[in-house]
Amino acid sequence: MKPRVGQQDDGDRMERWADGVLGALPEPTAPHDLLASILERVRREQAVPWHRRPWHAWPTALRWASALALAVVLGLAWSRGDEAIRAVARALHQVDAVRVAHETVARVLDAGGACLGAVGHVVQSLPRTATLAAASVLVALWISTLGLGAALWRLLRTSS
Amino acid sequence: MSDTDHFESFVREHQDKVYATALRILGNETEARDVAQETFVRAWHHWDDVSSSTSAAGWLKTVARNQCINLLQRHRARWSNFTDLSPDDPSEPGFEGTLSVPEAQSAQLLTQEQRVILGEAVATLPPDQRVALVLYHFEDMDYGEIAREMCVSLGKVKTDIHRARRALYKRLQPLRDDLGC
Repeated sequence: MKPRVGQQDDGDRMERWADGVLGALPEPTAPHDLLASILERVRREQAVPWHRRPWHAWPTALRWASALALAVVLGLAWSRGDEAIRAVARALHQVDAVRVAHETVARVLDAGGACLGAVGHVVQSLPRTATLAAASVLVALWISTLGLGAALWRLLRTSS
Repeated sequence: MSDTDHFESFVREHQDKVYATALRILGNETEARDVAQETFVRAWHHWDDVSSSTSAAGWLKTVARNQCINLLQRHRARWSNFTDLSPDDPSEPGFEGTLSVPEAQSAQLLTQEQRVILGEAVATLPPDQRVALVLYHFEDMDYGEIAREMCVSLGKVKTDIHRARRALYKRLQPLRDDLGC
């Protein structure tokens, strides 16, 4: 909506008035014990060994060294990762418990896949219009629930 | 001079500004104190950069301001976005309100009592209005910057600031009438 004639002038005058009176407010001063509490917290942080501080609070040299070490590890993982993973998998497969667990998980996944496949066959065998109608009803229910929730919220806010 | 001594004088120099920024935005002394403390602790964490920076004061104010806004946004209830859609408060005049529009008032014309009442009035404004008003009049941000900072529409910022000014004017009006000015 475009401002009416005169409305802009009123807004400007109100702005100048607010500028004038707010400029008259004295600047609040910090509580007298703020400095002491800040220094105390800094002292406490300094007493914590570097390896127990957050990474950004480590000494600069250690931050650079750790970043370099991380880059080396990532580089090795990138270039030799496949070999390492295969070696670990081969070693783990030698352990009976791991092998049994692996086979069990594989069977569960196979069964899950079969169930999903069966559901897919059922859905495909339904008439297309019935599937679309059911989906539409679900979407309509979802939208109306959101709408009713919002309307109820506004009603409660207005009445409280 | 050790780093700690240097940091102490740095805090002494800037603590009033940082605390004032936080107090004006939050309207609460305890929270403003916490924000000021956290701001300086962050400055300590980045002391290598901050100590040698010529724009440290600006950095401190920005950190304090962002912390205040984050704090207020965390307080805001999940569904408070609906207030954007809510009808105008009938107790407050709209853009065509019934208050006469004031002429610019010189700061020197305010009495001590009026200043106290004005300070309290700013602190007790609804948070959205107070933050927008403070960022505009004390932090010299324009409407667009405020809207981006607060993640709200430009229209809401303008309306909030306008309502805040009207509310302050209304609060000062009885005193002005009593004093006959």
